[in-house]
Amino acid sequence: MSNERFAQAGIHDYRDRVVLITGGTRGIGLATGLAYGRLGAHVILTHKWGSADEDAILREFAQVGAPAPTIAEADAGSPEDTLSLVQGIQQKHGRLDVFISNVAFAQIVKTLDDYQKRALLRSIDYSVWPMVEYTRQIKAVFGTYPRYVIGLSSIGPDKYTANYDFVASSKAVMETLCRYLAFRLGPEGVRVNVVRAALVRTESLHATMGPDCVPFIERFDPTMFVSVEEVANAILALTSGLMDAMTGQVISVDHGAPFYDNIMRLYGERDKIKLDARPAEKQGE
Amino acid sequence: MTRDEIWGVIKKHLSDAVDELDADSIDTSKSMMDYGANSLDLVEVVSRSMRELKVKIPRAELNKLTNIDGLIDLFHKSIQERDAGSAS
Repeated sequence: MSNERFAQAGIHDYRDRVVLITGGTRGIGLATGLAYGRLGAHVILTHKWGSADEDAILREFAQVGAPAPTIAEADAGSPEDTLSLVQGIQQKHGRLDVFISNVAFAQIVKTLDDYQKRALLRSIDYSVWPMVEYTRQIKAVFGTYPRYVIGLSSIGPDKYTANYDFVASSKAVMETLCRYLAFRLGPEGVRVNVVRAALVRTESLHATMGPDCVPFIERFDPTMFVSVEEVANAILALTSGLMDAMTGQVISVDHGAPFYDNIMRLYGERDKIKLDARPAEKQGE
Repeated sequence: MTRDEIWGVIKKHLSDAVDELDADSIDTSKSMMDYGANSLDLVEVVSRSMRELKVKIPRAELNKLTNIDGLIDLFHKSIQERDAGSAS
Protein backbone atom coordinates (compact mmCIF):
# COMPACT_ATOMS: atom_id res chain seq x y z
CA MET A 1 0.00 0.00 0.00
CA SER A 2 1.43 3.38 -0.96
CA ASN A 3 1.91 6.14 1.56
CA GLU A 4 -0.99 8.03 0.02
CA ARG A 5 -3.27 5.10 0.52
CA PHE A 6 -2.00 4.71 4.09
CA ALA A 7 -2.91 8.36 4.63
CA GLN A 8 -6.32 7.84 3.08
CA ALA A 9 -6.85 4.92 5.43
CA GLY A 10 -5.96 7.17 8.37
CA ILE A 11 -2.63 5.50 9.02
CA HIS A 12 0.23 7.78 10.01
CA ASP A 13 3.38 8.03 7.94
CA TYR A 14 6.14 7.66 10.51
CA ARG A 15 8.93 8.83 8.30
CA ASP A 16 10.50 11.81 10.06
CA ARG A 17 8.24 11.52 13.08
CA VAL A 18 9.96 11.47 16.45
CA VAL A 19 9.48 8.86 19.14
CA LEU A 20 10.96 8.91 22.64
CA ILE A 21 11.22 5.63 24.57
CA THR A 22 12.54 5.59 28.11
CA GLY A 23 14.33 2.41 29.07
CA GLY A 24 14.59 1.86 25.35
CA THR A 25 17.90 0.05 25.04
CA ARG A 26 16.69 -3.43 25.98
CA GLY A 27 13.70 -5.73 25.91
CA ILE A 28 10.32 -4.24 25.04
CA GLY A 29 11.74 -0.72 24.76
CA LEU A 30 14.33 -1.71 22.18
CA ALA A 31 11.85 -3.83 20.20
CA THR A 32 9.48 -0.88 20.15
CA GLY A 33 12.24 1.44 18.98
CA LEU A 34 13.06 -0.94 16.14
CA ALA A 35 9.39 -1.19 15.18
CA TYR A 36 9.16 2.58 14.77
CA GLY A 37 12.58 2.75 13.17
CA ARG A 38 11.49 0.31 10.44
CA LEU A 39 8.80 2.83 9.55
CA GLY A 40 11.38 5.59 9.22
CA ALA A 41 10.85 7.30 12.57
CA HIS A 42 13.59 9.08 14.46
CA VAL A 43 13.86 7.23 17.73
CA ILE A 44 15.40 8.37 20.99
CA LEU A 45 16.19 5.57 23.43
CA THR A 46 17.13 6.37 26.99
CA HIS A 47 18.99 4.29 29.50
CA LYS A 48 20.44 4.83 32.91
CA TRP A 49 23.85 4.22 34.14
CA GLY A 50 25.75 3.02 31.13
CA SER A 51 23.53 -0.02 30.74
CA ALA A 52 23.43 0.08 26.94
CA ASP A 53 25.59 -1.63 24.35
CA GLU A 54 25.36 1.26 21.93
CA ASP A 55 27.28 -0.34 19.08
CA ALA A 56 25.03 -3.41 19.14
CA ILE A 57 21.90 -1.23 19.11
CA LEU A 58 23.15 0.88 16.23
CA ARG A 59 23.89 -2.31 14.26
CA GLU A 60 20.37 -3.62 14.88
CA PHE A 61 18.82 -0.42 13.59
CA ALA A 62 21.08 -0.42 10.55
CA GLN A 63 20.18 -4.04 9.80
CA VAL A 64 16.48 -3.19 9.52
CA GLY A 65 17.16 -0.07 7.48
CA ALA A 66 16.06 2.29 10.25
CA PRO A 67 17.51 5.75 10.83
CA ALA A 68 20.23 5.61 13.47
CA PRO A 69 18.63 6.15 16.87
CA THR A 70 19.77 8.62 19.45
CA ILE A 71 20.88 6.75 22.55
CA ALA A 72 20.85 9.00 25.60
CA GLU A 73 21.78 8.38 29.18
CA ALA A 74 19.01 9.95 31.27
CA ASP A 75 17.78 9.07 34.72
CA ALA A 76 13.98 8.96 34.39
CA GLY A 77 13.73 9.88 38.06
CA SER A 78 15.69 13.09 37.58
CA PRO A 79 13.73 16.19 36.45
CA GLU A 80 17.03 17.79 35.41
CA ASP A 81 17.88 14.86 33.10
CA THR A 82 14.34 14.88 31.73
CA LEU A 83 14.42 18.57 30.89
CA SER A 84 17.87 18.36 29.37
CA LEU A 85 16.84 15.42 27.18
CA VAL A 86 13.63 17.01 26.00
CA GLN A 87 15.44 20.25 25.19
CA GLY A 88 17.97 18.25 23.21
CA ILE A 89 15.19 16.58 21.21
CA GLN A 90 13.63 19.96 20.52
CA GLN A 91 16.92 21.35 19.26
CA LYS A 92 17.66 18.35 17.06
CA HIS A 93 14.23 17.40 15.74
CA GLY A 94 11.84 20.24 16.50
CA ARG A 95 9.01 17.83 17.24
CA LEU A 96 8.08 14.89 19.46
CA ASP A 97 5.12 12.80 18.38
CA VAL A 98 5.11 9.77 20.66
CA PHE A 99 6.33 9.34 24.21
CA ILE A 100 6.59 5.81 25.59
CA SER A 101 7.20 5.50 29.30
CA ASN A 102 8.79 2.08 29.52
CA VAL A 103 11.27 2.45 32.34
CA ALA A 104 10.39 0.66 35.57
CA PHE A 105 12.37 0.10 38.70
CA ALA A 106 10.84 -1.19 41.89
CA GLN A 107 11.69 -2.99 45.08
CA ILE A 108 11.40 -6.78 44.86
CA VAL A 109 9.48 -8.13 47.85
CA LYS A 110 10.35 -11.55 49.22
CA THR A 111 8.84 -11.30 52.70
CA LEU A 112 6.68 -8.92 54.64
CA ASP A 113 9.89 -7.54 56.17
CA ASP A 114 10.58 -5.94 52.78
CA TYR A 115 7.51 -3.73 53.15
CA GLN A 116 8.92 -0.25 53.70
CA LYS A 117 6.88 2.83 52.87
CA ARG A 118 9.81 4.60 51.26
CA ALA A 119 10.49 1.56 49.03
CA LEU A 120 6.88 1.65 47.81
CA LEU A 121 6.98 5.41 47.23
CA ARG A 122 10.31 5.17 45.47
CA SER A 123 9.02 2.36 43.26
CA ILE A 124 6.21 4.66 42.17
CA ASP A 125 8.65 7.54 41.79
CA TYR A 126 10.86 5.59 39.40
CA SER A 127 8.24 3.56 37.56
CA VAL A 128 5.21 5.82 37.25
CA TRP A 129 6.00 9.48 37.78
CA PRO A 130 8.23 9.73 34.69
CA MET A 131 5.11 9.23 32.59
CA VAL A 132 3.76 12.46 34.06
CA GLU A 133 7.03 14.39 34.34
CA TYR A 134 8.12 13.72 30.77
CA THR A 135 4.69 14.64 29.41
CA ARG A 136 4.77 17.91 31.32
CA GLN A 137 8.31 18.74 30.24
CA ILE A 138 7.47 18.01 26.62
CA LYS A 139 4.63 20.54 26.82
CA ALA A 140 6.88 23.07 28.57
CA VAL A 141 9.64 22.80 25.96
CA PHE A 142 7.65 22.24 22.76
CA GLY A 143 4.57 24.23 23.64
CA THR A 144 2.42 21.21 22.81
CA TYR A 145 1.98 17.73 24.19
CA PRO A 146 2.97 14.62 22.26
CA ARG A 147 0.02 13.22 20.36
CA TYR A 148 0.49 9.84 22.03
CA VAL A 149 1.60 8.86 25.52
CA ILE A 150 1.99 5.16 26.24
CA GLY A 151 2.83 3.53 29.55
CA LEU A 152 3.96 -0.06 30.03
CA SER A 153 2.28 -2.17 32.67
CA SER A 154 2.10 -5.85 33.54
CA ILE A 155 -0.30 -8.51 34.84
CA GLY A 156 0.72 -7.80 38.44
CA PRO A 157 -2.21 -5.50 39.38
CA ASP A 158 -4.74 -8.26 38.68
CA LYS A 159 -2.86 -11.51 39.11
CA TYR A 160 -0.62 -12.76 41.85
CA THR A 161 2.97 -12.62 40.63
CA ALA A 162 5.81 -13.74 42.86
CA ASN A 163 7.84 -10.97 44.50
CA TYR A 164 5.84 -8.38 42.62
CA ASP A 165 4.03 -6.55 45.41
CA PHE A 166 5.55 -3.13 44.80
CA VAL A 167 5.98 -3.53 41.06
CA ALA A 168 2.31 -4.43 40.81
CA SER A 169 1.30 -1.56 43.08
CA SER A 170 3.25 0.85 40.88
CA LYS A 171 1.59 -0.52 37.76
CA ALA A 172 -1.82 -0.14 39.38
CA VAL A 173 -1.03 3.51 40.01
CA MET A 174 0.08 3.91 36.40
CA GLU A 175 -3.08 2.32 35.03
CA THR A 176 -5.31 4.57 37.11
CA LEU A 177 -3.31 7.68 36.29
CA CYS A 178 -3.58 6.75 32.62
CA ARG A 179 -7.36 7.11 32.80
CA TYR A 180 -7.26 10.45 34.57
CA LEU A 181 -4.48 11.78 32.37
CA ALA A 182 -6.48 10.78 29.31
CA PHE A 183 -9.40 12.80 30.68
CA ARG A 184 -7.23 15.84 31.40
CA LEU A 185 -5.24 15.73 28.16
CA GLY A 186 -8.09 14.71 25.88
CA PRO A 187 -9.02 18.33 25.09
CA GLU A 188 -5.39 18.80 23.98
CA GLY A 189 -5.75 15.98 21.44
CA VAL A 190 -3.52 13.61 23.38
CA ARG A 191 -4.20 9.88 23.59
CA VAL A 192 -2.93 8.25 26.77
CA ASN A 193 -3.00 4.48 26.96
CA VAL A 194 -1.23 1.73 28.83
CA VAL A 195 -0.10 -1.56 27.33
CA ARG A 196 -0.18 -4.37 29.82
CA ALA A 197 2.30 -7.01 28.73
CA ALA A 198 2.06 -10.54 30.09
CA LEU A 199 5.12 -12.70 30.64
CA VAL A 200 7.96 -11.66 28.39
CA ARG A 201 11.38 -13.31 28.34
CA THR A 202 13.51 -10.30 29.23
CA GLU A 203 16.38 -9.51 31.56
CA SER A 204 13.86 -7.73 33.73
CA LEU A 205 11.82 -10.92 34.21
CA HIS A 206 14.98 -12.85 34.98
CA ALA A 207 16.06 -10.23 37.53
CA THR A 208 12.66 -10.18 39.22
CA MET A 209 11.75 -13.86 39.24
CA GLY A 210 15.11 -15.58 39.20
CA PRO A 211 16.68 -17.90 36.62
CA ASP A 212 14.31 -20.85 37.20
CA CYS A 213 11.10 -19.02 36.32
CA VAL A 214 11.25 -19.20 32.53
CA PRO A 215 12.20 -22.92 32.36
CA PHE A 216 9.48 -23.69 34.92
CA ILE A 217 6.73 -21.99 32.93
CA GLU A 218 8.03 -23.41 29.67
CA ARG A 219 7.55 -26.90 31.13
CA PHE A 220 3.83 -26.29 31.32
CA ASP A 221 3.01 -23.88 28.49
CA PRO A 222 5.62 -21.90 26.54
CA THR A 223 2.84 -20.11 24.63
CA MET A 224 2.14 -18.11 27.75
CA PHE A 225 5.11 -15.95 26.90
CA VAL A 226 4.56 -13.04 24.58
CA SER A 227 7.46 -11.72 22.56
CA VAL A 228 8.87 -8.23 22.79
CA GLU A 229 7.92 -7.80 19.12
CA GLU A 230 4.27 -8.59 19.87
CA VAL A 231 4.20 -5.94 22.58
CA ALA A 232 5.94 -3.48 20.27
CA ASN A 233 3.34 -4.12 17.56
CA ALA A 234 0.51 -3.38 19.97
CA ILE A 235 2.15 -0.08 20.89
CA LEU A 236 2.64 0.72 17.23
CA ALA A 237 -1.02 -0.05 16.55
CA LEU A 238 -2.15 2.32 19.30
CA THR A 239 -0.23 5.16 17.70
CA SER A 240 -0.99 4.23 14.09
CA GLY A 241 -3.90 6.62 13.75
CA LEU A 242 -6.41 3.79 13.42
CA MET A 243 -7.00 3.53 17.16
CA ASP A 244 -7.34 7.25 17.95
CA ALA A 245 -10.78 6.67 19.44
CA MET A 246 -9.06 4.72 22.22
CA THR A 247 -7.69 6.67 25.12
CA GLY A 248 -7.51 6.06 28.84
CA GLN A 249 -7.40 2.34 28.13
CA VAL A 250 -5.34 -0.52 29.46
CA ILE A 251 -4.71 -2.94 26.63
CA SER A 252 -3.53 -6.43 27.44
CA VAL A 253 -1.04 -8.24 25.24
CA ASP A 254 -1.11 -11.73 26.70
CA HIS A 255 -2.27 -14.44 24.27
CA GLY A 256 -5.39 -14.68 26.43
CA ALA A 257 -3.32 -16.48 29.07
CA PRO A 258 -4.69 -14.82 32.23
CA PHE A 259 -8.02 -16.53 31.61
CA TYR A 260 -6.57 -20.04 31.66
CA ASP A 261 -3.48 -19.60 33.78
CA ASN A 262 -4.91 -21.14 36.95
CA ILE A 263 -4.91 -24.18 39.18
CA MET A 264 -7.94 -25.73 37.50
CA ARG A 265 -6.00 -25.89 34.29
CA LEU A 266 -3.14 -27.63 36.08
CA TYR A 267 -5.63 -30.18 37.34
CA GLY A 268 -7.29 -30.61 33.96
CA GLU A 269 -3.97 -31.19 32.21
CA ARG A 270 -2.29 -33.12 35.00
CA ASP A 271 -1.68 -36.21 32.86
CA LYS A 272 -0.27 -34.21 29.97
CA ILE A 273 2.20 -32.41 32.20
CA LYS A 274 2.82 -35.51 34.35
CA LEU A 275 1.68 -33.85 37.53
CA ASP A 276 0.86 -36.31 40.31
CA ALA A 277 -2.40 -34.91 41.68
CA ARG A 278 -3.12 -37.76 44.12
CA PRO A 279 -3.19 -37.17 47.88
CA ALA A 280 0.27 -36.94 49.40
CA GLU A 281 0.01 -40.34 51.10
CA LYS A 282 -0.69 -42.06 47.78
CA GLN A 283 2.05 -40.42 45.77
CA GLY A 284 4.88 -42.68 44.81
CA GLU A 285 2.66 -45.79 44.84
CA MET B 1 39.51 14.69 46.12
CA THR B 2 40.26 12.68 49.24
CA ARG B 3 38.69 9.44 50.29
CA ASP B 4 37.18 11.15 53.33
CA GLU B 5 35.56 13.81 51.17
CA ILE B 6 34.06 11.12 48.97
CA TRP B 7 32.73 9.31 52.03
CA GLY B 8 31.20 12.59 53.18
CA VAL B 9 29.16 12.81 49.97
CA ILE B 10 28.06 9.19 50.10
CA LYS B 11 27.21 9.45 53.79
CA LYS B 12 25.05 12.51 53.16
CA HIS B 13 23.00 10.74 50.51
CA LEU B 14 22.78 7.58 52.59
CA SER B 15 21.40 9.60 55.51
CA ASP B 16 18.83 11.19 53.19
CA ALA B 17 17.78 7.85 51.79
CA VAL B 18 17.46 5.78 54.95
CA ASP B 19 15.17 6.87 57.76
CA GLU B 20 16.55 7.40 61.27
CA LEU B 21 20.10 6.54 60.38
CA ASP B 22 22.82 7.74 62.74
CA ALA B 23 25.37 8.65 60.09
CA ASP B 24 28.20 9.07 62.56
CA SER B 25 27.90 5.48 63.72
CA ILE B 26 28.29 3.91 60.29
CA ASP B 27 31.01 1.29 60.02
CA THR B 28 32.18 1.42 56.41
CA SER B 29 33.39 -2.17 56.54
CA LYS B 30 29.71 -3.10 56.52
CA SER B 31 27.19 -2.95 53.72
CA MET B 32 24.55 -0.25 53.39
CA MET B 33 21.98 -3.00 53.72
CA ASP B 34 23.28 -3.69 57.22
CA TYR B 35 21.92 -0.25 58.06
CA GLY B 36 18.46 -0.88 56.65
CA ALA B 37 19.00 0.31 53.08
CA ASN B 38 17.00 -1.57 50.44
CA SER B 39 17.92 -2.02 46.79
CA LEU B 40 16.23 1.20 45.74
CA ASP B 41 18.05 3.12 48.45
CA LEU B 42 21.34 1.80 47.08
CA VAL B 43 20.47 3.00 43.61
CA GLU B 44 19.48 6.40 44.97
CA VAL B 45 22.65 6.81 47.04
CA VAL B 46 24.98 5.79 44.23
CA SER B 47 23.08 7.75 41.60
CA ARG B 48 23.09 10.99 43.63
CA SER B 49 26.72 10.52 44.60
CA MET B 50 27.71 10.04 40.96
CA ARG B 51 25.84 13.22 40.07
CA GLU B 52 27.44 15.28 42.81
CA LEU B 53 30.92 13.90 42.27
CA LYS B 54 30.52 14.18 38.49
CA VAL B 55 31.75 10.69 37.82
CA LYS B 56 30.14 7.57 36.32
CA ILE B 57 30.59 4.10 37.69
CA PRO B 58 29.69 1.14 35.44
CA ARG B 59 26.89 -0.91 36.90
CA ALA B 60 28.93 -4.08 36.43
CA GLU B 61 31.51 -2.69 38.88
CA LEU B 62 28.85 -1.84 41.43
CA ASN B 63 27.49 -5.38 41.39
CA LYS B 64 30.80 -6.66 42.75
CA LEU B 65 30.78 -4.51 45.88
CA THR B 66 30.23 -6.04 49.28
CA ASN B 67 30.58 -3.06 51.62
CA ILE B 68 30.72 0.72 51.83
CA ASP B 69 34.51 0.78 51.78
CA GLY B 70 34.38 -0.88 48.38
CA LEU B 71 32.05 1.83 47.10
CA ILE B 72 34.27 4.62 48.43
CA ASP B 73 37.32 3.00 46.84
CA LEU B 74 35.51 2.67 43.53
CA PHE B 75 34.54 6.33 43.52
CA HIS B 76 38.04 7.33 44.56
CA LYS B 77 39.61 5.33 41.74
CA SER B 78 37.15 6.68 39.18
CA ILE B 79 37.72 10.26 40.24
CA GLN B 80 41.49 9.83 40.08
CA GLU B 81 41.21 8.35 36.60
CA ARG B 82 38.95 11.18 35.51
CA ASP B 83 41.27 13.83 36.90
CA ALA B 84 44.33 12.15 35.37
CA GLY B 85 42.56 12.10 32.03
CA SER B 86 41.77 15.81 32.18
CA ALA B 87 45.30 16.74 33.26
CA SER B 88 46.95 15.03 30.26
